[in-house]
Amino acid sequence: MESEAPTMENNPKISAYYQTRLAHFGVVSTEWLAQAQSATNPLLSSSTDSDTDKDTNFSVIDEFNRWRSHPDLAEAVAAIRALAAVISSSKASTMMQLEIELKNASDTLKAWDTTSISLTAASDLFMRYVTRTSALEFEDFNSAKSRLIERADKFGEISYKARKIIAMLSQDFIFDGCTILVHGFSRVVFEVLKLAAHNKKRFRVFCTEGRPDRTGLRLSHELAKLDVPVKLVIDSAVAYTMDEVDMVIVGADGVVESGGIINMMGTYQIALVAKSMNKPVYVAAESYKFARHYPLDQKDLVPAIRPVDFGVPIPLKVDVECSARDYTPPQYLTLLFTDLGVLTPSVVSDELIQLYL
Amino acid sequence: MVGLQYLSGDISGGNARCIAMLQAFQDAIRDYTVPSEKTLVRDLTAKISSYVSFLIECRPLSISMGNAIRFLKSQIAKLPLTLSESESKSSLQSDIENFIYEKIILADKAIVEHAVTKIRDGDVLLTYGSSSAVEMILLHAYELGKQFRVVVVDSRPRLRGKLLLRRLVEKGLSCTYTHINAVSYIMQEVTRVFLGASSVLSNGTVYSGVGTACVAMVAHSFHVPVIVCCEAFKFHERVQLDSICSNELGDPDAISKVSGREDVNDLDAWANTENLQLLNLIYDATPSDYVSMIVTDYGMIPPTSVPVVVRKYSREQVWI
Repeated sequence: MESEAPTMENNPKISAYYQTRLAHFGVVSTEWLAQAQSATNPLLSSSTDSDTDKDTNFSVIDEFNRWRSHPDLAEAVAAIRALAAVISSSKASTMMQLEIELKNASDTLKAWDTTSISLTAASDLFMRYVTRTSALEFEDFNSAKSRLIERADKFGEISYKARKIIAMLSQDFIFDGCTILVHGFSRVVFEVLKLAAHNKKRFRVFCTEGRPDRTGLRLSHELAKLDVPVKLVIDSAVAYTMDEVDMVIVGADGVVESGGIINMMGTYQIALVAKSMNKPVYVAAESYKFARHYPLDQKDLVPAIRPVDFGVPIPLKVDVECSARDYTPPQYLTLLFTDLGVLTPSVVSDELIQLYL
Repeated sequence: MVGLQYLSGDISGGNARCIAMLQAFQDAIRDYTVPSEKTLVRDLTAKISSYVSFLIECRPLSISMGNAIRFLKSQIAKLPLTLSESESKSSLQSDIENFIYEKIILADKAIVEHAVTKIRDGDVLLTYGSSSAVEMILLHAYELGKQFRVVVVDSRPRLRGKLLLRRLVEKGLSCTYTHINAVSYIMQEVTRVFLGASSVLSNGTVYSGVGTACVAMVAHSFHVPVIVCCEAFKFHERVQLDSICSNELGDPDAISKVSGREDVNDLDAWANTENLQLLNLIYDATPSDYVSMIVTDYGMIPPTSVPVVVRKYSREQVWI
């Protein structure tokens, strides 16, 4: 796994976030299986390491990478757990010092991968959540600190459970006999479908391939294991199959202030086609993904590059569009399933205003 | 005296009028003495109301001025009775100072900072009429070294764009000037539209100088993002669906006469013609669908979030 990478990526332009997703959810291969085996083991040994390492320099990046290597954990939750660990291993003696340490750790995390929106959003949210506590005057610094740790852990728990809540809320929207189109591999969407299959609903799924990661192939694998009828479609065949589709469910890498979403490349296309054929587009996203960005068009985002492998060598003169994600404006989205409830896109800004102002 | 300035049109532009009015009130409070049988609070409120009616006679209030007057009246009403006359006067004066500073000057700084991030090198920015907030944004972006050019769209009869144009050209920005008839032609080259607002209503409708709705509509059909820059104190909880229901009428003669062209006099006899009426509207309402984003001192918000800011804002005022 690429967790041995130093704090700055070798090629700063390639988005670490999308590389991780590829590593986690790319095509299933024996090599992946072997890596998955080895991934579960270091988790136990490195936890003992960190106990002895407490006296040496605590690196929030190492902690973050340790949490991140677990494929089931969202990157943002890993960040939150890492920041919680910063609090518990902090040697600060006053609240101000602790806050400064936290801020530095949060900035380091954000600088490590500037393209990941949920990372930035989750760090900001955590800082606000935790620093609100410090407004409570505690005589004893240690009890304040333990209260902070408690709140930090609770926040981590909530974020972790967010997927279950979203899955529960979205069950009403999946009716018997419906056809759902999904794009790429989103763990939240997978949770939704898993729960629906568990509740014995009969539905079928059209799964786009999701080039260049081909994460859709992995999803179809997982769904087949649950005995859900799956049909793989290549990305270009979405408009062709949209007639038979009843609804589109996608995840999100980030939800922006306008109510639009930033997601894997191809989502905007699917949303456009769905809107023109009057099919609802539902987004399943945890609330820590709400970010204070406001893109006006596709180019307004921080570019996240993901190298595309065409399988044949491309001459140097030929330019390749290798952006990993696109922005879907809110008018193409019907509803957002979040752990705060089922929301319309315009509510995102209300939530953000309440959180940040 | 301020009223006469309004009447002659010397002070125009939402912020300038508001600041001038508040400063006039400051002077009035300073020169005010309580008559012996009356309480400060009630008498001052009555005096302010009489000044306000005089101002309304000269020129109807804009929405932002209405908000400012409401703030002033609530501050007067909240004065504790134990304060002496001079203390109350000085506290009111400092309240007005703070209001002007926080809600207008600081707010403009915040707006400029947020909006400047949306200007990229190579952009062609279009603006309509003359808005103080937009002018500050353009100048600040130019100071930061961004490469862009500006299209200033203007319209009769007030031709306020000319003043903006002169100020921008003086600073060295490359500008294009055109009338509103050509806006659908020039919109093909434009990448962003920046508009000012006299007020933003609760349903996201932008209430601004007449012609703004046209520009926003054309921009929308060309898929050009429309960014409205407005301080938060100008937000209003009213909802308006069209431009006619509450508007201001300007001088009809301004339409019939074209300055510098005395030969265009076909409409000179309009007052005598029975079936002819000249309508010179000052404001119009732009529906929220045409607005991509509103930049306020609270940050960048979509037009659907205006009621949230109005609610928060009124709550803040209650605390003060």
